[in-house]
Amino acid sequence: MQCAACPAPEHPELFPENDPPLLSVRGLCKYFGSHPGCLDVAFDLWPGEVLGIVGESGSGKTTLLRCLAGRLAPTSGSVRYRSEQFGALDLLSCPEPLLRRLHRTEWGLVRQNPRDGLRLAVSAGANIGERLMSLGWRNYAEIRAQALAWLERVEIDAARVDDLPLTFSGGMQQRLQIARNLVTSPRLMFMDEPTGGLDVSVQARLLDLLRSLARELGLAVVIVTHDLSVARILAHRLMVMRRGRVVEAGLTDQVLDDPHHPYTQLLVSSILEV
Amino acid sequence: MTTLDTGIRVEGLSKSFILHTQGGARIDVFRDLSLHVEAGECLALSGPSGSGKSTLLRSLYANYKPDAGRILVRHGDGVVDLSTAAPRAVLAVRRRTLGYVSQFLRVIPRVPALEIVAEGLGEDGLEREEALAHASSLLRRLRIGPELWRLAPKTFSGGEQQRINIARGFARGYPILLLDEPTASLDAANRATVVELIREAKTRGAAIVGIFHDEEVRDAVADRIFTMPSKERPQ
Repeated sequence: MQCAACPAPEHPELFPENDPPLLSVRGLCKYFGSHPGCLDVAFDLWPGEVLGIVGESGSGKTTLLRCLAGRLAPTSGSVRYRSEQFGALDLLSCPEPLLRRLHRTEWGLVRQNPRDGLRLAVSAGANIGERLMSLGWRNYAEIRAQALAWLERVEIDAARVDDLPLTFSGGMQQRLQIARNLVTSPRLMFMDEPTGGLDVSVQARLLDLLRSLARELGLAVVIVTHDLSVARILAHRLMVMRRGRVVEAGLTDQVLDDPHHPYTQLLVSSILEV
Repeated sequence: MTTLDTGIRVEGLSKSFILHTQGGARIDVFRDLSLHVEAGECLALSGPSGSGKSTLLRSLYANYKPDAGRILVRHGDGVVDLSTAAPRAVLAVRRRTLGYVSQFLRVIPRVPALEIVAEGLGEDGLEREEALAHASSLLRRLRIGPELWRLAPKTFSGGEQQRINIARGFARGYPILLLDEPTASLDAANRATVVELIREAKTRGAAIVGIFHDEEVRDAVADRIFTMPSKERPQ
C-alpha cells in the first residue's frame, strides 16, 4: 500500500546484512481523519536490539508504537514480523486470533501507567500467571512457582505474591507489569514511557533492571520515551520523531552527541545537565 | 573488499558542525585529514586547545559523524568503514575491536565498579570467574581498593571514576584503542601505571591513538606525533 506522504515505494535496506530482522517496517502511515499521526516510518529491528523512539509529546511516538504493537490499524505501509511459531508474518493482514496469540506469547507491552497494563482485582501472582493460564497451563503449583521466580527476578519480595497490585508502590507496579509480560519469554517488547510516572530514584532501579533483562534475555525492544537520558542508557539506536515523521535516526550516542537535524539539536540542547 | 594492513586508516576526513539553534553557524573543525596507525604503534594527536583533537578522536569512534572521508578499521577478518557503517556494524566493531577511554565515566545507576570493568570480557573468551579476577587485578593495579569494587561509582571521586574507566578500557584486548587524556586527573603513581598499561597494549599489538596533555606521558608512550592542521578561517 502506498500513501501520498511517502515519496518512494522502497526504502534502502538499513542494515544490509545476512541475518533477517525480527521486525521490518516500511512506509508506515497512520492518519486520524486528515490528521497525520505518523508518516512514512521505516526501520528494521534485530533480536537483542533496543530501539528508542524519542520526541516531544504529540510527535507521533505512541501512535507509532500502537501501530507496531497491533493495537491500532495503520492507514498504509507494511510491518513484517518473523515469528518463532508461525514464520514470517505481515501484521497488517494477520488474522486477529493470531495477533492475540502473539500478544500472549512472543510479544510484551509495557504501558506507561502500570494500572493500564495490570489486572487490579487479582493478586500479583495471578497477574503473572495469567499469560501462562491463557496458554493452557493448569497446574497451580507450577504457575505459582513461575510467579515467585519472576517476582524475585524483578526484585519484588516473594511474600507479596498474594497481595493486590493496588497495595504496591508505583515502581513495584511497573516491575510487576514487566514480570507479567516476561513470563512467556517474549522476543519483542513494546514499552511506552515505562519510567514516566516514577520518582527519579525508582527510575534508576527500573532502568538498570530493564537494561539487564534486555541483555540477558536477548529481547528486541521498541521503547518510547521523551527522556533522552533514559534513551541513552537503554537504547542502541534512536529514531527522533517530529510531527509524525522520523527526522533523524542512528546510533544513540551519535544522535545525542552529534545531532544534525535542527529539531534534534533543539531537543538535545534543552536537556538540563545534572 | 578493501584490504587494510594497518590497525586504523583515515582518508580525507572532514568534520564540521552546523549549529541550527545558533543561527545556523557553521564550524569547520578539520578538512581532508589523513592518518594511519600500525598495530603496536601509538600515535599522539597534538595541537592547541580547540584544534579538533577530541573531535577527531570521537569521529574515529563513530561518536561524531564525519561529513566526508573514510575511517577504515580492521574488524575480524574484514575491514569496516566506520564513516558509513550501519549502527549495528558500529556496535559490533565497538564490542570487539575498538575501545575508547574518555576522561569521564558515564555512570549507569547501580552497576558496581567491578562489573563495569568486567563487562564485555566474555567477548574476549573469558569465563565469568576469569573476567572478575582480571578486572580485580586491573583495579588493584590502579589502586582502587576492594572496598570499592562492589559499589556503583556514582559517589566516587573524579580521579577514582577515571581510573575505573581506564581499567574498563584496558581490561579488554581491543586491537584498537582511543585514549582521550587518560591521565588528566591522576597522581604520579597512577600516571605511571597508565603508561605501563599503554606499553603493554602496544606490546600485544594494539594500535593506539591518544590525546595526552601531559608531555611526560606522551614522550613515554607515543611513537609518532600527528599535529592537527591549523584551521582555515571560515568564509
